[in-house]
Amino acid sequence: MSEAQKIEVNTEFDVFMARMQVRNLARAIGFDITSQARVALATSSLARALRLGDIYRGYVLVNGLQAEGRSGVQVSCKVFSVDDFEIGSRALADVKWLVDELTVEELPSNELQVTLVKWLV
Amino acid sequence: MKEDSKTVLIVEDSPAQALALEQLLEDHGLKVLWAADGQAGVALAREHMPDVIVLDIEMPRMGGFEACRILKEDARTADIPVVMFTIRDDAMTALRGIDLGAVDFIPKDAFSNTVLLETLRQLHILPEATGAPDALPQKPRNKAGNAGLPGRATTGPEQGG
Repeated sequence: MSEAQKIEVNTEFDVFMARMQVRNLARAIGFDITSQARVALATSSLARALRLGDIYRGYVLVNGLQAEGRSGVQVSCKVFSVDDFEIGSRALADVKWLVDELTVEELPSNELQVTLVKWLV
Repeated sequence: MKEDSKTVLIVEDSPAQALALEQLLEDHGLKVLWAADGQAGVALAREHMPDVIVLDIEMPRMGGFEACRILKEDARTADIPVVMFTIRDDAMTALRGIDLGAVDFIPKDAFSNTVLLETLRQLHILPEATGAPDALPQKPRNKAGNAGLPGRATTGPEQGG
């Protein structure tokens, strides 16, 4: 499995970059075109829901998964200095429709981490 | 252009964006048709049976979602892959396109051409790449987007509509 890729997000362009990295990884793992689109769109939709690259800074961590004989893509968005943990809650619900798993963690120091996973079926 | 070139139908209301796509695809040896709205796009698809349709969403007269629905309900065109190629990239919009039968949903950004070419390879519209990527991602120089005059498109909005 490939090493995790970390994309610092300071601007919207960085979100595009993250989306591209996710799509490339999904293709490499063997996702079909539609599933590549789903997980890539989930990434940018998640970043947008979190206002990442807009009012907040942070990073996107893209990782290939292998567990219980199946492969998948994991994308974690970490947001620094969040002052409103309700941000994008509606959009997060929309993102969940595109992937298999979505978890939200409130971390110390006002950090928020949202992780999505899409499995290869 | 080879006689056996695959045909791509671009349904896009922006002549500048259609021209840029046309240039990109022709540079890769594909035949290109253009319709400027969904209604004309459906008519051209039925007439020419392209190998793939690249469909914008927001267009006059008939948008991409409605065009996609009609194409997928018509037995003649149902099997033609539809790629949504759009400025919108929110989850719900993407899901709607995919639910209507689009095979891919590509937001227009700095990487969209690269993604589109890769999708066309995976659909076997283009041969597999053997060398460097076609268009390395790079930061856009300005917000203006594509340049060009709207005169070279193969088929304009009034045809086939």
